[in-house]
Amino acid sequence: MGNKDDSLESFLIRTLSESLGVVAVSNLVRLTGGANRETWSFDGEDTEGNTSELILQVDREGLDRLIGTCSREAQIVKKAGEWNVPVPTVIASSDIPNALGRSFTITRRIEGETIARKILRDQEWETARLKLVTDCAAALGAIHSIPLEELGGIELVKDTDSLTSLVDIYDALSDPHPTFDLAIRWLEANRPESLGPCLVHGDFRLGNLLIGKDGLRAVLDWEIAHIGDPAADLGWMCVRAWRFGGKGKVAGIGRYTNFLDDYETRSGTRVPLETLQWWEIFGTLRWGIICLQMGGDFRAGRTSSIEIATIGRRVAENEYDLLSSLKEQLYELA
Amino acid sequence: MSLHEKMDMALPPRGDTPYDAPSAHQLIEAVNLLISEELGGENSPTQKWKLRIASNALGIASREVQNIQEDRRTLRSILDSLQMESEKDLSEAIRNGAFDDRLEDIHANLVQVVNKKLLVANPSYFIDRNDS
Repeated sequence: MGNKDDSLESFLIRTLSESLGVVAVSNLVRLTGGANRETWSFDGEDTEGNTSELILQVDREGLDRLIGTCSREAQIVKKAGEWNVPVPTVIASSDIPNALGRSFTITRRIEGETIARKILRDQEWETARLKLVTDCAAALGAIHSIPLEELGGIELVKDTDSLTSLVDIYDALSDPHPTFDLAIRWLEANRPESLGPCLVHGDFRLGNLLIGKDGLRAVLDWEIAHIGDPAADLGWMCVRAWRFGGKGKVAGIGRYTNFLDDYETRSGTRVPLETLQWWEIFGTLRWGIICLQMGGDFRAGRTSSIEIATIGRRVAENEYDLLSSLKEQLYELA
Repeated sequence: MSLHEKMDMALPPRGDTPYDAPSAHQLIEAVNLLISEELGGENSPTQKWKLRIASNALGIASREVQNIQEDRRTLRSILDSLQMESEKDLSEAIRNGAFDDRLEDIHANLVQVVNKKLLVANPSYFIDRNDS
């Protein structure tokens, strides 16, 4: 193990000595995935030989716009847990300059799988698959039902006009893509009635959900949670990128109507199908602009990650999906 | 040396290039083959994941080198047919509603442009293979 990992071990021991009595760290392994954060799995041992199974998340170096978000995210996770959203238990979190030079969160490790392709295809997850859409609708209902006054002490962006906010980001990138402008034209002309405001996870999809054999165990990655329209989370789950090759419109396995029925049962809110589809198209545009922005991090020299570089080339996938979705819809604008 | 032996020694044509062979495309393909072989080896899951990303990146580069001249001509021709100087101009015109009375036409043109891009970026993404 190199010097960097040695210092990471020392940092973990210092950080966890008081809360968990950790005196040694073992099985420190960096996990795959997570374009914005580094994720490490490790075990912390105390003087009596008790082992705590833990996860460390750290801001990825160089991506300035995300620095300092871990601690805020930990506050949201704690609050969500109090309101029956399945989340990991937070042990420590800080934005204060430390040995890592980056903000971090340490949580208890929960057994399960996050890799979407395995969850959607492997026999092992068959039982979980059967109730996945229902579990997701229930978790979303729980998130969206947290009273806003409960979130008073947490710094949360209030997104009252998601489309304008997204277009502002796209315009600021100064890299025009005519298909995006066609989508913006359609979205502006067909805005649904708002169903918010409430707490919105912002990135609720396979990949950010920890699945156990029995179903959904934890909702992860709350870094862009904000106050907004609940239908945004529902539409995001239906974006083709988050179907991971599955045929079902919802997370690659579910149907729109079942998802909306389950969500209504848990939340008491009926989301119209047209509203869901508007947010799905919005979500596709959003993921396309995120791809453009992330590829831009490589272009601008803020990261040398080849993973992030190639995300820049995923813009075309979203343009293709937008054109496919808009094919039937465009004539309503004319 | 017999004529037959001389013919056997003849190298594949280099094509219209100021450089020696192998070409950029051939070099990229050779490196990608090397990486693909490593994917089947005894690397850790993390290493395999990184190699897969590297292999995908080389695949994009390889297809781009092959297609860029034709795709550049297609884009220029589409922009000319719409009387636009650049994609930036086209973006602005769409956003301002200048094409609202011919959306079917603009949609068809954008499909052509995007399909060319996707064929380079990720040809496995097309739902209907005829799209490409």
